[in-house]
Amino acid sequence: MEESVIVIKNLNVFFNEVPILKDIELKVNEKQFLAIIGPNGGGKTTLLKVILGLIEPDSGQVKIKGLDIKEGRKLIGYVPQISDFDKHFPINVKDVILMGRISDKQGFFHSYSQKDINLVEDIMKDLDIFDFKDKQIGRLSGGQLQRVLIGRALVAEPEILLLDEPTASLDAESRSNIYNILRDINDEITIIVVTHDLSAISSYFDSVACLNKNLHYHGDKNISQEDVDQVYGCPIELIAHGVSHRVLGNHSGDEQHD
Amino acid sequence: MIEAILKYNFLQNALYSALMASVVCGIIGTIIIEKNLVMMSGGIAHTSFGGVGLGYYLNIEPIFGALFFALFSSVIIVTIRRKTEVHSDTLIGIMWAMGMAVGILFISFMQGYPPDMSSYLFGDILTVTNMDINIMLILVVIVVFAITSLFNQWKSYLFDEEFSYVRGLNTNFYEYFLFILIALTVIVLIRVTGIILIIALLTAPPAIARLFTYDFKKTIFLAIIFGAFFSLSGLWLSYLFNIPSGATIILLIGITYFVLAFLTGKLKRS
Repeated sequence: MEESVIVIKNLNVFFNEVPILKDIELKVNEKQFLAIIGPNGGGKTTLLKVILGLIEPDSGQVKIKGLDIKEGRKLIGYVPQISDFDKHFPINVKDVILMGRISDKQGFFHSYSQKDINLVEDIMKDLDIFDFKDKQIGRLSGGQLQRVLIGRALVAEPEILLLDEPTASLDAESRSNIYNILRDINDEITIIVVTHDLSAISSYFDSVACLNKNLHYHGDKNISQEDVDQVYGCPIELIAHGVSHRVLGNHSGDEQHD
Repeated sequence: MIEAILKYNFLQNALYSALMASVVCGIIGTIIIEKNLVMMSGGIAHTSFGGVGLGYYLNIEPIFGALFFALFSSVIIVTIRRKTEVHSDTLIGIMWAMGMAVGILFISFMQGYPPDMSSYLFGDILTVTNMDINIMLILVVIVVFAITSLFNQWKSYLFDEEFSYVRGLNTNFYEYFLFILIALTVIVLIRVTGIILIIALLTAPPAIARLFTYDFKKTIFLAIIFGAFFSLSGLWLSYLFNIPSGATIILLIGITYFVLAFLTGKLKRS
């Protein structure tokens, strides 16, 4: 019997009395690789932010490994949208990833330990970003920056990884690169990806939920045409397995292309 | 001038205050330009004018009035910003003018001749008193200790507030603390450049530093060095030609920024 790592019950979020999320029920099992898809404004990011405790729900319950959000979110690695933050900030790749080691435990005059630094370097090598560890983050390509943010989330040694639109504004190659990375990570970590990128669904994820205020979820990756129509409000062709996307093998040197 | 510095207490005070101003400007200035809080800081500075007026009216040291108003307004701004959806810009605009208005009213309530406000508005580094120096020193020590002792946490908070919050950092605390530090910085700077000119001294040195480095810590150190260099040269020029010190420092540093930005921009393109 698989254990549920995230359980959401009867969740409602309103914004100025407009419902953003309605009666959301969701169970995420250990090592699951879940995609939450839906149109823009459908509440995907809101749902992530509720799970992370960044938005207080109006009603309902969220448990992370049986813990309340405040404790449970320490088990979560969060990868925000790359468009969300200031790329001009004077900081290099290594320092960004080190920030994943920050927690509420550090006191005055904290400095990163050798263990922190080793972990960060290992993860940078795994993600193939070690070569530009001293680069200012604004000088990276979208795919590189995305990997930096994944690295920052991973050095916190999370049990669950939450990603917000990790492939938005990336080219096809960087996209499959990111999904390949995630698939490897998924061997040990539960992953939830919020995306409107339908192309990757069939080959990488093991389950798909559709969100547009309401959540349509059957615990597997079978979404019916009916669900999609309902969620997107207009008929959209369901993308058949392996047709609309190319799965690329390992391609090193990815980053030189942009 | 060296002889004069050794001889005259007022010149020594001017020197100390210029150096202390550079330190807090380098640190807090770097933070506020990265966090886009420049106008916010301008708002806090101008609000503190109300405190200067109150100080004169109650016959207490105006700088204490200014300190009180700066702290009060910074806490109010953060609180309103968090609790409502009022755009911070709007909020700052209102506080900015209200603070000035309060100051003007208090001054008008005073009996007899109104005091000369220009040293608070435009700064007069050559009239900095021993007491001002002591107050400045305390504030500088607080700001430096607050930032250096929690440097990694500050950096994480400044770079990505949301992520830091999820990691368990008390971002609420850091936000309030940052605004309090901005208020303290404003007070350190009032005597040097005056309320109206503070923004330039806060932004220009880190802006110049950013032309040369992409590292947060280096930006701070360079900004301190530039700040010290320009405020000392400004001080020297103002002493030499008997012109207002605040304005001299600001013009010097502002012109340097534009020249360097132009030159480095040019160099980058070619």
